[in-house]
Amino acid sequence: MSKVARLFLGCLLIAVVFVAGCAKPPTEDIDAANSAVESAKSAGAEKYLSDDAKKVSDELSAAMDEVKVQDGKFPLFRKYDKAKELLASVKGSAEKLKTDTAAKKEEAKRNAIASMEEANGAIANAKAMLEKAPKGKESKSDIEAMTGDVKGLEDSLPDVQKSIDGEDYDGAVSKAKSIKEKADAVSSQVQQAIEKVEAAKKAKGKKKSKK
Amino acid sequence: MRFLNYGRAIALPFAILFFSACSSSPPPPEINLLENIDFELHKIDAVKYAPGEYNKFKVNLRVLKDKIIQEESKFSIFRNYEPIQKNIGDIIGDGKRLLITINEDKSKRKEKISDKIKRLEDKARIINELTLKVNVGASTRKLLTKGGIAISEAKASINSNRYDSAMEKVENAAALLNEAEKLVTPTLRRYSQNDTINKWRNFVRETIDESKRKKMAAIVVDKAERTLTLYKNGKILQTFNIGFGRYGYRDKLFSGDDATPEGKYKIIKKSGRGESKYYKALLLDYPNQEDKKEFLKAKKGGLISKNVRIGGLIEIHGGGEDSTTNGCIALENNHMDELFDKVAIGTPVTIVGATSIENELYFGLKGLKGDS
Repeated sequence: MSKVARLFLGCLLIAVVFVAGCAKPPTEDIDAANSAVESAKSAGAEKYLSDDAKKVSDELSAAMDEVKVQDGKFPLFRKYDKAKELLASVKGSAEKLKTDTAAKKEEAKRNAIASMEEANGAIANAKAMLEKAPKGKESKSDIEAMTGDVKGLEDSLPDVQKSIDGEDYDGAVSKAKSIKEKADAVSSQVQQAIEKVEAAKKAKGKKKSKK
Repeated sequence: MRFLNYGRAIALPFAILFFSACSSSPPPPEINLLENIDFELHKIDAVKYAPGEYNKFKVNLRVLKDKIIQEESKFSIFRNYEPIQKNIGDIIGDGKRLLITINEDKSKRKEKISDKIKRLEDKARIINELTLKVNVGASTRKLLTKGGIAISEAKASINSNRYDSAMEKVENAAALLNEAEKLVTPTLRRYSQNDTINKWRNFVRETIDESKRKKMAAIVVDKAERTLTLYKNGKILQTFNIGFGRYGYRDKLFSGDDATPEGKYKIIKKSGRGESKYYKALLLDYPNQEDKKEFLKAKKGGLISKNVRIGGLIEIHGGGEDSTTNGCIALENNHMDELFDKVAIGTPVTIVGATSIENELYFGLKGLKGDS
């Protein structure tokens, strides 16, 4: 190879290395990944899918570390390909997280509303049962006590709606379930009282027919 | 030839540098363990339970990662992770210790809240029993129900490791139950006061003495025990279970308060079968002088409305011991038969709240005090 050719090749090599070494930090990819992560967080990812949100956040951190590694290298040797790959992965994960969060939130809301409706139904049932409760001097105080119980349950129901409005769906479900449980207990107590009275009536009827 | 030799001499170090820059010397593998510890700390809410220590851990982890980045930025032949290794060991140790500390703290917290919940459940149970016994009205039951809901919520929160929420519900439940307790205790207090118990004991002793002295029957009604005891010549003849006023544990003050009077009375009328709505009845001379005095005092003091009357028609009647009356004392019909024939007009009837400090209501009150 001639001297001129060698010199030409040397220059070409230097030029190629320079062009390759002038790789720029993937600013757009960083912005896109950051924006996707923030968007998932704003959608409530940290509340509804806390562990997944942490994983995505850690992924972003790892991608940014890779950018820093390349930033710290001699300009000729910087390569952001891996960082770009990682950032693209973060963006994808964050977008999925946002979608999953929305679905989870919607599911939690649906559960909370269903629980509130169940509690409402149980209260209505308890009230209807109390209407049917055997009335007499002997049961007056029991009915009064259970009426007080049902009033307490009715008073607590708006708190379930408040929790739903405040997006505290777990809290709403927990309160609604407790209300339902207690309303069902009242209904069951009244049912037992009705059955007791009916049994007593039957027994009385049998005695009379024997006479 | 010489030129080629110079070229090789220059190119060789460049080639080494180039390959060392391209080749990757991986960071210490322990960094993965640190990442796992960090994730575990996140899962147990370290930021909430040990914010200071967790922040320190995170800062140390960041500094460590920055050091690794610095090393990774170097040509691989110049990379040296040795000083970092010791750092990693220290931070892993800190993280593990923090995990243990937080888990222990959480466990203690859980235990403490569970204990509070248990005490609140006991308190709610006692109040529930007392409200059914004493019948203090719907407002107390309402508070009790709301308190019960708060307890259930606290239990749900603790089961899902949401201790702050659990504690909030516990405090809410405690406030509601304290309110309910305030409405129950005034009725109970009389049953735990020595002066009142002594006054009632004296009433009973005087009644038994009169029965002995005059060789006659006498009746003693003990509200706390829910019993009616028939005496003859100062000796117990029979004891029956009874039912009484909806607000029977209170002392009757006015018409319509559904309370059962306390004091010394006499039978003034006997109504046999067909003459009473409640099988058979023994009418008492309520109100006596003491009742009238108390009624006027309460009216004057504004404790009761000026429009209310003192009431009357307090009887011992049939209808069943399960009955809840408007102030009368109810017995099973067969028991009424037995009693009816053994008493006469003029038979003393003494009605007291309790004859012993060790009565159920006293224990209920004591239980509440123990819980608060």
